[in-house]
Amino acid sequence: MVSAAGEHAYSHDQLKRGERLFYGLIPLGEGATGCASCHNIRELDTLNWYPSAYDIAVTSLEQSMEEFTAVLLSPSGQIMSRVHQHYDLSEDDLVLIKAYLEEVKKEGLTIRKPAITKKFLFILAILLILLAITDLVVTHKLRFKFVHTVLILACLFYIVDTTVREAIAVGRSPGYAPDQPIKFSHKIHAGQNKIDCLYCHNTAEHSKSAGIPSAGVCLNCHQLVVKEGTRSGSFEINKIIRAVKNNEPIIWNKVYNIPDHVFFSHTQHVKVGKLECTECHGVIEEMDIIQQFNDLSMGWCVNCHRDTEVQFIDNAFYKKYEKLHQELTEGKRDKVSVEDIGGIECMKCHY
Amino acid sequence: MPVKKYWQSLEERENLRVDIRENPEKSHKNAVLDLLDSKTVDQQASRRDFLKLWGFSLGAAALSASCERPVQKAIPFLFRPEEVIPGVAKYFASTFFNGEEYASILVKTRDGRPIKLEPNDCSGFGATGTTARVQASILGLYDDSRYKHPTRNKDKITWEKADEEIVNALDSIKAKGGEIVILSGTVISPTTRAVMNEFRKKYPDTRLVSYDASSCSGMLKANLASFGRAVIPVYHFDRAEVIVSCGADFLATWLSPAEYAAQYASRRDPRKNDPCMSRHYQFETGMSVTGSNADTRIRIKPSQERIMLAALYNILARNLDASSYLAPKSPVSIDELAGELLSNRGKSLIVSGTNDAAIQQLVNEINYLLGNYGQTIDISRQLYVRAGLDEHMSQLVDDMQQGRVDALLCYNVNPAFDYPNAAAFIAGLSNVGLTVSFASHPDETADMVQYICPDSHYLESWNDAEAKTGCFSLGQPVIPTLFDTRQAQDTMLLWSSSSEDFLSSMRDQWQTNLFGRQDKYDSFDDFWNHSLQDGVFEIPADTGRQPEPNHDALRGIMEATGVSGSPDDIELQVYESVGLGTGKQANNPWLMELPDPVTKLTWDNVAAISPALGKKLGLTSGDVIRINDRIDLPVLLQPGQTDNTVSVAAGNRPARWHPVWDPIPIPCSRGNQRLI
Repeated sequence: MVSAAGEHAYSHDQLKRGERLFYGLIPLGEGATGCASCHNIRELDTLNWYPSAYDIAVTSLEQSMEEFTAVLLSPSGQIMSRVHQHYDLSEDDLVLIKAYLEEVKKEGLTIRKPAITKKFLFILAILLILLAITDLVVTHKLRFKFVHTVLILACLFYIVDTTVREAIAVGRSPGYAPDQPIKFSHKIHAGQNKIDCLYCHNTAEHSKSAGIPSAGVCLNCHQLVVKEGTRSGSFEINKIIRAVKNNEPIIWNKVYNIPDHVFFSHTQHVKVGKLECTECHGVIEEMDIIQQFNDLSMGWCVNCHRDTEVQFIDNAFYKKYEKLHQELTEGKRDKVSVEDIGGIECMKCHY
Repeated sequence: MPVKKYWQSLEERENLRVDIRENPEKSHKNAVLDLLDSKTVDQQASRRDFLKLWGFSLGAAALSASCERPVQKAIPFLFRPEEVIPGVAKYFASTFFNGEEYASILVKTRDGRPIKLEPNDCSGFGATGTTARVQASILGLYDDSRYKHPTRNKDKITWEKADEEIVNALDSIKAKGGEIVILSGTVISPTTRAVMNEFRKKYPDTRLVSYDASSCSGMLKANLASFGRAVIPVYHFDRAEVIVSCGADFLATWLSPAEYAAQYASRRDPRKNDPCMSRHYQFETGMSVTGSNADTRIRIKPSQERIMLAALYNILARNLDASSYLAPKSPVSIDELAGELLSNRGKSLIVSGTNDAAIQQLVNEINYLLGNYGQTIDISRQLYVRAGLDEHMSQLVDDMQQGRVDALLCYNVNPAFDYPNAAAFIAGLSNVGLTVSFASHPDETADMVQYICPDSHYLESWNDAEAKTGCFSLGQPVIPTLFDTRQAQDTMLLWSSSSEDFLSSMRDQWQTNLFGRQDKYDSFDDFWNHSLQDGVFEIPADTGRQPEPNHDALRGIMEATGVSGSPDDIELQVYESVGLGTGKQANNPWLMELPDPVTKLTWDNVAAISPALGKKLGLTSGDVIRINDRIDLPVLLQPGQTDNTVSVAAGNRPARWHPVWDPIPIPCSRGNQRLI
């Protein structure tokens, strides 16, 4: 099995055996669970607390055969030692499983393509319209003109509606919930453990960006106190420790992206406007993976600026607005909205 | 009511005239995008309309482009330092001085990288603004063409090797009694002067020569003759009711433009009554920024300046019971000016930008007659930004050519480009045994020396400065050195076998000389930290005694003033442009892109002549002429240019020093030459 160059080259049959072992199609032992039932090979659209096959492929690549066997057969973590039971694997089989994981690392997870897409329907609508018009004008196969009219109108409506909706949605991404390099759950941290938003995102009060916490903030707890998660075990937490050890920052996927031509300042909204984080970012405490709660459209910003009342009275920032203060005390106006202090002027955000 | 449109070039003016003659109604139409017309572009269509049209089409194109957006990443620190807040900029105080211009600045940094310079409002020195060259200097920090490591004959060597070889060479020169010369630009840093003196202690046969590309040697010599001190006085443009400038572009390039512009601007509000708006007379050859701001602008040829000043002196002397001398009449009318000056004695200011000792002495005498010393001019305090005397440099070049100089250390100078007789300097350079340059950016002189020990950029260095008597400032590094460079002062200290580095030297100097001159802070560390935070330490001083100038040379100057040449001679004036100046930052793309405020030109250099001269010689803008059999330049018909003169900007350096463009090099020469 060792080629002349010293590299391991596995035959197609051997890799296939490794794959079957991984799926559990070849029994791994009496009462043993198949690997793929926890370590997904397909891309999922729900959150899987256990590392995917790709994740463990990445770590297994750095391990020697002894380390890999140890992790598999005598793991140290609580969850793993509960599940990795009853394995009865020969050494050769273990080697093949590791070899299969190398393949997974090269190929990546398999992506499931949706059956019918919006594009498909759109083209179908166009074809139907053309068909109806042709029949109406040229071929006259169907006698009831009513059918043609209805078909044309319905398809036209669908086409125009889709075009407008898609045009408006250009650049917007509500519901965007990307996978992150570490399976960090806000539901556990902000919801269950009730950690304040500003404990981690502490620059929200001082800067225009709220910032993603540095690895040091995570390690405040996870270095000594919480070494193993209830659901994900120590796999995810080890990623933080590994990042610090190798001096490689963690590359998160940004969820809330506003375009470059827009200026948004967190400190203005948090410190001066005294808004709660959840007002714009939604119920974070119930989200495992963060998803974009609103569409971040200009209309959404402007509507809030028109409707929301600003805390004007005990606010040092607004002391200079003499005329508005005067009007408030005289009773000529009862509330000040962001619009009144110039919040919807173009140059405020687009300069 | 249509908005009046002003012509912005002579061609546009010609078109407008033709248009008004032919179609009187059309000239009142609103600016419509006439590109769509089949005729040639009408001058009414502005660039704005063109951009509007293009902006819309581009926007439409962008909208209908791909709907997929790339994934954005966010990468936080691993351990965030407490004082670094992403998104919030930190400002540090520093100092800019490149041998010509001084500015006390605040450096805006983000994530540890400087991105913008602002004026330091703790400084009393023109705190309202910085000039274009100061603003552009930040780009020089990120210049990829900078010297990145020491070299010997263009080969890379390590600092240890360079130090060892150079110190050995210097020691052997000292042993045989040879001469070492440190050729530097004006040094306004007291600690750097101390460092050079340290160097002299180890190598006693060291000569320090100051060389300025934009020399004020004339003024220094004049003040030496008049007052016994080779100084540049402190000017107060804000105290003058009448300002007369003879070719001094004090708003843009002369001596301390940011400071003078702030002072000048404070007296230019026509709505104010106390003090009321000043009156500004400008005598100059080519159109300048200052000239375009003047109330009265009188065009003179360079040779006429001295005659005009002599005549002015005579008129004033006669009215003030002082002796007048025999001198030719003024070529331009100065009676109104003389009248204004006489009715504003002690509240006027005459300055001249000409590098000629006789003219500067005349100016001194006129100012003294009018009682301006102690009011608008303070000779008891000095501006240190120019200290080079021309004869020291010419003596050095002579010595170099004779082989009398054994080592030359070039610090912040580039005479191979900007010395008027650069060929002599280059010839002399080959006679010098050991040549070293501390240049940080590539230049002509560094290209010819043996060793290049690159200096760090000023934003990576410690420095101090005394720009004006009593006005001290500090400069600190705001980013670690990007390349393998070392501060020139540290290098010199190392070669002087000193155990200190420059920062400790600075602290020592400040503790010894400055800490005792204040009483606000009790501990030196407090004083140092607060000075570093403010960036400046200023000792307020009252205007001291103003001595009477020495009048001995006056008679000689006046009687030697005479008309030379014929009025049809064409005279050349070389001036410093706003962006490039003498060419110190010539490869800075921001400065090359900066449209000259007067000619609106970018990148290129022109020979500006008056439309009348153009008509006489049959030249239009764009025709190429040869000046003094040496340089070919395109002509620009410049409204406001004096007849029979040519103005050329200095400072454009050849293509090797900036990879994109190839302008024609004009070194900044001292005087005004005559065209054959």
